[in-house]
Amino acid sequence: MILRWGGLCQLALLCAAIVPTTSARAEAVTTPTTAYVDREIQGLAPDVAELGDQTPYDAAGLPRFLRLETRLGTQPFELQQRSRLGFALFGLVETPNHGILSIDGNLDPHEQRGSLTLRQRGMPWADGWLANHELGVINTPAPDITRLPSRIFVPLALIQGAGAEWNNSGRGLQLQAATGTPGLLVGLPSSAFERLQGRRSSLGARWHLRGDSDLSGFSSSRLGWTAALRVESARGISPFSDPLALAGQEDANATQLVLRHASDGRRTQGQFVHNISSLASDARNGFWVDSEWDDGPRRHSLGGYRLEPGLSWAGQPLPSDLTGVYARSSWRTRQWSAEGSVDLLRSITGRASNGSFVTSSARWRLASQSSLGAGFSLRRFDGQAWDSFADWRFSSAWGPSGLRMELAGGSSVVSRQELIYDQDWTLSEGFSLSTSLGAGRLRRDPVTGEAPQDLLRAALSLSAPVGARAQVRGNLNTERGSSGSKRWGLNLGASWRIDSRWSLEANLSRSQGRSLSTVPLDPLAPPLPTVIGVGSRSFYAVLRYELQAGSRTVPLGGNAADGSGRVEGVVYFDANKSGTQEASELGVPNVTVFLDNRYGVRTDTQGRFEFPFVAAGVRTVNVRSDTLPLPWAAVGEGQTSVEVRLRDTSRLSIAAQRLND
Amino acid sequence: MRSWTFHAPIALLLALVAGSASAQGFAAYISPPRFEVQLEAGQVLRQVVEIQHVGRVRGNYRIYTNDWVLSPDNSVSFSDTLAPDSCRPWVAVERRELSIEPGARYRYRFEITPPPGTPARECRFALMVEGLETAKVEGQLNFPVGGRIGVIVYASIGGAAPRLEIAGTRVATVNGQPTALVEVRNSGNAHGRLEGFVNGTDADGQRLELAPANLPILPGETRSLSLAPVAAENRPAPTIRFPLQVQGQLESGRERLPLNAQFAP
Repeated sequence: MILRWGGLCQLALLCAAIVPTTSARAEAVTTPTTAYVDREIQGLAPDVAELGDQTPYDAAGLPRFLRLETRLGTQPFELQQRSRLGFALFGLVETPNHGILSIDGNLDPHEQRGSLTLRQRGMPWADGWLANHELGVINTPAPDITRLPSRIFVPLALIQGAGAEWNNSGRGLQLQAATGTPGLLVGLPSSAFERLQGRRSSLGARWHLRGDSDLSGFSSSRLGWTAALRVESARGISPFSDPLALAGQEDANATQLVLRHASDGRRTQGQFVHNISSLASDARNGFWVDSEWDDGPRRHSLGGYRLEPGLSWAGQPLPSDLTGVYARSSWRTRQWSAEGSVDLLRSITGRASNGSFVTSSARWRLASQSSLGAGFSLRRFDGQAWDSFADWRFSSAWGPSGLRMELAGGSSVVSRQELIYDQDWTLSEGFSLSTSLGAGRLRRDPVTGEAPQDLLRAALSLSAPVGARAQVRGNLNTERGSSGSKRWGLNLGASWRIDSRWSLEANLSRSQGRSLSTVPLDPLAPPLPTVIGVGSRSFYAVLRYELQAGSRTVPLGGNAADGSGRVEGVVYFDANKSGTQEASELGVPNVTVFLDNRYGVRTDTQGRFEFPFVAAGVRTVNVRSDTLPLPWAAVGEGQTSVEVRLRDTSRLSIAAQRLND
Repeated sequence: MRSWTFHAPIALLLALVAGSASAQGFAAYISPPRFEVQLEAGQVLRQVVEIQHVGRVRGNYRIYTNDWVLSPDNSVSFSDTLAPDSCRPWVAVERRELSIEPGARYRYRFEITPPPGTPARECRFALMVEGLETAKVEGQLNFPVGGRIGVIVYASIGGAAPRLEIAGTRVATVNGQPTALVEVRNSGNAHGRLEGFVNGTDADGQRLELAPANLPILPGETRSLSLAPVAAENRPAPTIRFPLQVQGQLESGRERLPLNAQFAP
C-alpha cells in the first residue's frame, strides 16, 4: 500500500513527515497487499519518562500559577556556616481586566528580613493606555529610549518602594514614576533587601511623535522623532565613593533629556545630563550624541561626548572629566564579520594628556563549523594598556572546539599571556559536558610589585539526566600559579521532580582563593566597586511546590484557545565574547528578564529563568541591561526573539558582554 | 557509534482534521523528528523516540516501519511493502501497539542490527507512528480520518559516507520565479546534504550571499537543489535579476565543492 502526500512532504526529510491517512480513500485506490510485520524487541519493560497528570486539572477560574519554595542553606561568606531556613513565593494570575498580577517574595526568618515585589503589568485603561504598577523591590524607571545602545549609559538604582509606568502606544507616550529607599539584594538561601540610607524618587516621560500600534516596546528601528525626560532626586544617600558616608550624606538632583530621530537606515540620538549635588559647589553637566546609519551589510556610527569633572547621576557613578569623539564601523556577512572603533579623548582638567582608545575585532568563517577570530583593544589615555585575542573555533571528532590565545599588557596593568582550549563534548541527548584548559604567564605587577608567575587554569561544566526525573549539573574552576597561589570554585547542583507538582533541588558552592579582577580598558566604563573575596562556601536545598490551574487556553501573551509552550534560559557572563557559554562562564544572578515587555522574572543564583506557560508564536525576551552589574551589558539591545511552540520548551542562552572592552 | 545532533525541533502532529471542532484525533509530539546515526555490521544500535500524548483521553497508537522514496519533485512516498534493498528486516521495534495516558511522555525504543559482514551501506527507513482513534469529519464528505507521522532514520553502516559533486547548474522556474539550481550527484554510499554558502553578483551589480536547499541527496542519485539568496536580519530576501555570477565553496561534511558559475535563464 503506498500513500502519497505532497505539501508538507516537500520538507519531509528535513523533519518528520506528517502523513494524513483517509482510510476510505486509501482503500478505494489501493489493492490489498501483504504488509510487512515488524519484529518486536523481546522482554522490554515500558519506559514512561513523564507520567501523565494523575491529579485532575482544575480548569476553572483564571489562569494562575503558584510556586512555593522552602530553602535550607548557608551564607556564602559566613564563617560559622550555620544553616538557615528561607522561604520563597512566586504567584501569578492573569486577569482579563486588571492585567497580570504577580507576587515575588523571599523571607529569611532568622534575620527577619526578606524581599517582596508585587507587580501589575498590562492593565488596560481607556484610550489605549496600558499601566504597569510595582510595589516592593524594584528598579527606578527609565524611559525605554534611554536603554537603546549608546556610548554612555546612565545607571538605574534598586529601591524598595513603589513605581508606575503608563504606556499609550497609539499616542507614543510613556509616563513613569517611582520612589523608595535605595538598597542591595543580598544573601542566601533567600535573597533579602538590605536598605541603604536615604530616599530616591524618579520621574520619566517619553513622547514619540508618530505614535505606534506596536506594543512590544521601543526598538531602535522606530522611525520619526522621539523625546524623553527623566529626573531623579536623591535625599540623604551615601555617596558612591564613600559608602559609609563618613564625610556626610549627599543630596542630589539629576535631569536627563533625550532627543532622537530615526529615518530609514539612519538614527541619531542626543542626550544631556545635568546634576546638582550637595557635595559639589556647582552643577555638573554632560552631553553626548550617537549617530548611526546602515550601508548594506555595514553599519557606521559617529558620536561625541563631553562629561564634566565630578559628573554623576543623582549620587551614582558616571564617567567624567572627559571630552571626545568616536567613530565605529561594523561589517557583517555570513562569510565574515569585522568591527572597529576609535575614540579620541582628552581630560577636561588636564589630569591626563590627550589620548585614544581603539578596538577592533574580526571573524572569518572558514567552513560551516570552523572560524578564525582576532581582536585587540588599546588604550593610550591615563596610562597605557592593551589586550588582544586570536581564536580558532572548529569541529573536532569530539564536538565543537576552540583554541584561544590572549595577550594583555601595558604600563598600568599586569602583562599576561594565556592559551586556552575549549571543548564542548558531543554526548547523547540530555547530556552536556564542556571543558576549558588554559596555560599562561603573568609578568611582574607594576603596581604591587608581585613577582612574575606561570598560571594553569582548568574548568569543567556538565549536566546529565539521572533516570527520567532527576538531573545533576556541576561546574568546577581551578587556577594554580607557580608562586603558590591557588584558586578554585565548585558548584554542584541536582534536581529531582517528585511528581507533577513537587520537586527538590540542591546546590553546593565552594570557592577558595582570590580572583584576579579584570579592569575594563574603556575610559568611559564607570568605576567598579572593589570586592575582594578570599573564599566562600554555601549549600542550599529547595523543596518546591508548583501549581498551575485555571483555563490553560489563555497562556502568557496569548488569547483564548491558544496553546502554550515554555521558555527557559540562562543569562551568563560571556567573558570571551564568543557568544557561547563556556565551562568557565557563570550565570548572572538577579537580572530582570521580561517576556514581551510584560511579564517579568528575576534570574536565580545561577542566572537561570523560566516562563512556565507562554502563548505559541514568536515572542520577545528582554534582558534589562540596567539590572546587569557594570560594566556588563546584554548583547543586541538585550532583546532576543524566540519561537515558542505548543507544549514545547524553548531554551535561550543570553550573553552579557563587557562594554567596549 | 554516536548520535548526530538533531537540528529540527520537536515535531508536532495534531489532529489533521479540518472543519470540525468536535473531532477527536491524533495528538502527539514525536522527538526527535530525524535520526542520523552510525554503526558497524553485527552491532546492535538502540535508539529512543519520545512520544508525548497531548490528547485529553488515553491515546492508542500503532507503530511500524515503512520504506520511503524521495521523488524528483522532493515529495516523499511511503510504502508498507518491503523495497528490494530494504533494511527493515534488520529493525526491531519495542511494540507494535502502544497506549499512552493523557500528558504522558513515552520513551519508545527501536533497534537496528545489520548482520555481520554487511558491506558498507546506508540503512534508511521511516518509523511510522499512527493514531488509532479516527475522527469523524462532519460535512459534505463523511469518512473517518486518522493521522500518522514518519520519523526518518538514516543509519550509516560500516563507515558509509556520501561523495557529492556538482554535476551542473541551470536556471528553472520554481513557484513562478526563476531560480538558480545546482545539480548535485552523490556517488557515495550514504545520503549527503549541501551546506555552506557562496557569494554572487546579479545583473544589477547587487552582491548576494546564497545558500543551497538542505535536502538529502540519496546515494546514486542526482538532485536539483535551489540556491536561494540569504536575507539580512530584519530585511526581506533580495530579488535576483539574472544573469547571476556565483563564486565560492559549498560543503558536505569535510568535503569542499568549489562553485564558479554563471546562472542565466
